[in-house]
Amino acid sequence: MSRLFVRLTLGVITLFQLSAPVTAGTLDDYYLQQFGETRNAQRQKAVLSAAPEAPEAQGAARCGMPLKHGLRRDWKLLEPTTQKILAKQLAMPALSGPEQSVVSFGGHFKVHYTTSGSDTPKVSQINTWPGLSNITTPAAWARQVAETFEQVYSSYSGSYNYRPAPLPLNSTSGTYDIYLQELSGMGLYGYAEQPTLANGYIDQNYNVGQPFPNSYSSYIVLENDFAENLYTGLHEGPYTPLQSLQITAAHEYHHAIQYGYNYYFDIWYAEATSTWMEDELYDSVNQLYNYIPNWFTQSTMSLDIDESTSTGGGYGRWIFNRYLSEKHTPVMIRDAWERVAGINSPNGYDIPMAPVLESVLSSTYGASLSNDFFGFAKRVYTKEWSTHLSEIGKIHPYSPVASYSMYPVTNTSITLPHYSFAYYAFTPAAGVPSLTITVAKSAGIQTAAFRKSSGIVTEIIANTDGSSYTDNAFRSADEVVLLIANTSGSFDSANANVSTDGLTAPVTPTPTVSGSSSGGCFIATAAYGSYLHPQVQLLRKFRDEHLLSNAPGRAFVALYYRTSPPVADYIARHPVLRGITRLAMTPLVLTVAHPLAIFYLFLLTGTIYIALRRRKRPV
Amino acid sequence: MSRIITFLLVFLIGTMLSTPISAASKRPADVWNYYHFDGTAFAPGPADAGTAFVAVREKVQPVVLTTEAVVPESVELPDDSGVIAGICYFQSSGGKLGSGRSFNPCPRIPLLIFSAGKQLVTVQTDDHGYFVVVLPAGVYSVSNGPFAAEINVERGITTLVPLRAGKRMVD
Repeated sequence: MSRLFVRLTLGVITLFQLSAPVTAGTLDDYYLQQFGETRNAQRQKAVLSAAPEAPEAQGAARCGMPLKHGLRRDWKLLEPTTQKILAKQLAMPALSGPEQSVVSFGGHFKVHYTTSGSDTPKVSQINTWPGLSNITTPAAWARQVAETFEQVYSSYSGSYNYRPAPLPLNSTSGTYDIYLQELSGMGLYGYAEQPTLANGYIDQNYNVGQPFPNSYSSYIVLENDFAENLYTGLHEGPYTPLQSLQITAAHEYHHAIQYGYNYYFDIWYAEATSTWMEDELYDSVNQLYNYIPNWFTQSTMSLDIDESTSTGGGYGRWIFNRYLSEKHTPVMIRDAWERVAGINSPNGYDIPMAPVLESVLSSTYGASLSNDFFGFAKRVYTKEWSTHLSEIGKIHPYSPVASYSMYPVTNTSITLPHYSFAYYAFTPAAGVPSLTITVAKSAGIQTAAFRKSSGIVTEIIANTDGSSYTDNAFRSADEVVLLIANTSGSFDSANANVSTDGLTAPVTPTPTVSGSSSGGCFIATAAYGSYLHPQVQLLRKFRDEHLLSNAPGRAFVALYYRTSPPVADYIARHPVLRGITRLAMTPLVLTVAHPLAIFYLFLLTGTIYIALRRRKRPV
Repeated sequence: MSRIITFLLVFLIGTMLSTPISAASKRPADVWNYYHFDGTAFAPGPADAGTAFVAVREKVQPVVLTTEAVVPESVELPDDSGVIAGICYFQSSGGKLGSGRSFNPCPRIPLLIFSAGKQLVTVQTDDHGYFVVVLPAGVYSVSNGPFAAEINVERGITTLVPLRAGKRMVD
């Protein structure tokens, strides 16, 4: 009996050992099949079954949270090649229930969704909207999502001729991944990103590296149904779930395309382009007009400020793309993205887009960003848009920084950062038959004046002096407006003075690029080795508070910024010179840091000197 | 005679003035300077309460703090050494219904430091996503997976580096 037991035990152990490799293969295949990944043909191990059917063809294979937990548990038992294929599954979003998927008919997109938990699309709220009564299951909505993305893909790769978003290097399905998750709690329409692995690094399979050096793949997470009032009840709505889906698909997939051109794209322009494309692809959904008012009411902020709907940054700037596309065709915008593709990141930072736009406009279109920004600023008032004509009324009107109805207007000043503008409005007043506006402007400033009468806008040609505008029939005008724009990318404190009494004060020279707040003191930075060095910071503060606040100081700073870079460069490359410069700058730094103490020291020295001179004189 | 006395007095005053100036130029700055990460770059000043920031002082090892109430201990840097300090973060940009740019620090992730193409050392970020590494003066590359920044380490100087680990486009 005992011998039988021993033999049985040995037999079981032997069988177990023999089956181990097969079991391993089964485990690998099991996970590969469940996640809809096919085996690589070069793999050594035999495949136990035919390539698995696509999950969607099986009627929703399940690979949700429990499966991902299992994958984590069994990770070390899998072969390296299987781990490589399935690594993204651990980094991808986990839905609230078993995951199902549907592939678009065109085969470019796989939509992942669930029918359990909070991520389940609320079809009962979707199908109450006109035209959506056929959405009776989450699968039907997922199908709608997939086909909407297919439509977007077709537009981008067809008529707009963009490169499709690249797929991860280890993609075997050939589809771009989209996940439907409940995002209304976070107030999001969707997002695009790369999966992050357990070690905190982005999955290297998404670092595609072709056809451009910084090409990245991505995936998209979408709000699961866009059924909440948050989306449907926005200004100028209502917006149906399908409309929100359409513009979000157009928006997010353009981000995916942008990642494909260059990971280091400039975010404000990415949002400006994605938002602009919403209306190009889905003209009837006009939600994007909501983002313009916060730009036009804060037009003294630069074109390329950080994205934020509260300032119109990024999102509101889409209207500038409409101007560019009307003037140069939409191809110009794509050209700008293709130009970015070939540019290296400046040491891990994003690539500033304004110089890229300038480069494309000047090299390909015989234009300049300066002139186009000025043309755009004019159009804000004239509204002479040539496309989307039925929507011109949706574009927020110009918003003056000051309005006058009592005259004369005495000297008033404005300082503008790069690529920004301001309007002044003048309305007729009794006893003022004509109006002459005089402007003094620093480098970087361009001006224009317009007269509106009976709703018709005409541009007032500048007087022969080039610095004043006269409306001899001011009394009959609805209003006269003056546009002041900083159309330069180099001057951050361009300024202008305006008056209607002819006593406009002269302006002060404009300090060069970003001089007011972010520019560095070149020589001090070179000498102290860092822009963030405390002494450099001290000198920068002195510059901002005591030099840039007055005309002679600004002139000195402008001169310094023109002449110092080559000197600073030479100093930075010679350690001995850096030491000498630091020593030489010490009295200056001490004077700036302790002005009173230095003053008293000089007073003391002077007193001693005078006393000595007096003692020397004969009595 | 009086000329000689005048000369001697001026020389004495000059010496008295230049000695502290010379000394001041050689000794470390005696105050800590605070820098916080604003989502894009390091900016002067401490961060909001409870959020980490870096205290920097010349020729002294920088310290990551969460409150100004703590006076950092001064650990002098070795001769010919400088410091790379910074934060590794995940950038989150945009938001149609939100308010724009934000970031999440990446705690406890390894960063690789290369010199002349060879991996020199690995440093791990702390619980706040910050890292501090003392290195001999020279040029280094700090990388987090595919993302890297080239840094010139100067003697006695702390160079602050914001190292992005990811970029999420939110709408």
